[in-house]
Amino acid sequence: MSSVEHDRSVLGAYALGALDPAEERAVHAHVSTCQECQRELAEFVDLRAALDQVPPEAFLDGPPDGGDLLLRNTLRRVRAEETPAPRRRGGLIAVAAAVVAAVALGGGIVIGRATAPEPATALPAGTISAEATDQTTGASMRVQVEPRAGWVWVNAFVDGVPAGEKCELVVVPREGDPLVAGSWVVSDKGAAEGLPLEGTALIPPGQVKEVRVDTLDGRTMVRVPL
Amino acid sequence: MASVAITGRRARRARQVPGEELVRSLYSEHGRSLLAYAIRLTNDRAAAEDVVQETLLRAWKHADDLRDNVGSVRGWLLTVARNIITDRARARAVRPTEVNQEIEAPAAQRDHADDVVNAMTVLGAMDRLSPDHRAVLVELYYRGRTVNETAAVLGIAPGTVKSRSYHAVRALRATLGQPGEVPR
Ligand SMILES: [Zn+2]
Repeated sequence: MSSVEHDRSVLGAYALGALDPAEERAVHAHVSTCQECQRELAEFVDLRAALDQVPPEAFLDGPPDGGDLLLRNTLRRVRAEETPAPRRRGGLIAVAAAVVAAVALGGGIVIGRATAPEPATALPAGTISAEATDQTTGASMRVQVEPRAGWVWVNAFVDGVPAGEKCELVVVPREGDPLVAGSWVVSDKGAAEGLPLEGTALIPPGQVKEVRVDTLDGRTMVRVPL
Repeated sequence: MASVAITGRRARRARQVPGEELVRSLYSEHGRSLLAYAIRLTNDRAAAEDVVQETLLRAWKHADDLRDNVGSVRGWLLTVARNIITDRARARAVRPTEVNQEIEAPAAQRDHADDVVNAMTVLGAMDRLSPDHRAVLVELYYRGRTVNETAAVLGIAPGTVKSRSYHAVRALRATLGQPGEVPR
């Protein structure tokens, strides 16, 4: 076969290593004598390094073989993250008032009021009040549990929990599973000045054994027996 | 009874999850590519499927990032998948025998801190080629076919394969070699 004449259009395939061996030898023979081809080829060789960053799987299209179980599992995770399932049944109410101090997490708790007064003097009959300080964590809580028709309203004032802690207000019945009455992350202001909270729990009045502040990673900051 | 507590949850369940369509379409368009890539890197189908789930979940969470990304969506997804795999390998590096051989081999071949950007950039540049030129490049380079095989697969003359590959390579070179990006 005669040697290849100057034909730059073959340099692409040559640089990609796609010519058959005989043609590749011929092009090689020409390139070794042609500076113009050498210059262009040098750029193409650089390009190969860039092409090598892309894995060959990048050029497969469509869904995976074998049904859509993988898709369904993925969508389940999407929905789970979209709707964080409460671990326990618990009630939350957002307070319609000027709010400060706490950043509401997914569940929507309650949030301290800018004008939160000291506990009202006229509390509903059957309201139970208690407070406690945890000597280890230094956190303290003052809590009032007000009776409602089959459930309770919980007012709490939590102090001494460091900023950044993600907390939940846990209401523990004498029988059955604890309920989460709200969750929040402690702000700087909440850490410095304490944080008023309100929540609800579907526990019959008189059946509340204790109210706790737990962190989401499972540490109890303070426990108030009732 | 306790309507305050239940209402919110019921309402949220009934609502269509936003972004579910995004995940479905990413899966049907890129699922095969992602899974094949993850299987090669992990050598473990179950682990690879989990990587694909996690990748799509991140795409859903970072939909803005995905949309604004200058490279290709495919490149973004593959890059995220690889990062997940290497992060997990690193996290388990206390058990080197199990992980390092599989993972480190491909990583070592392309040991550039910026190849993440490059994979996305290169794919983005390839997306801007004409479909004809792109197809030739994919067959010749990524599928390892010869000029004649590619000609047969695409139903064109071998001479056309050569000229298209030349123009494809030049166009890519021009796109990727913007001034300042690839100093010579
Ligand atoms: Zn020449």
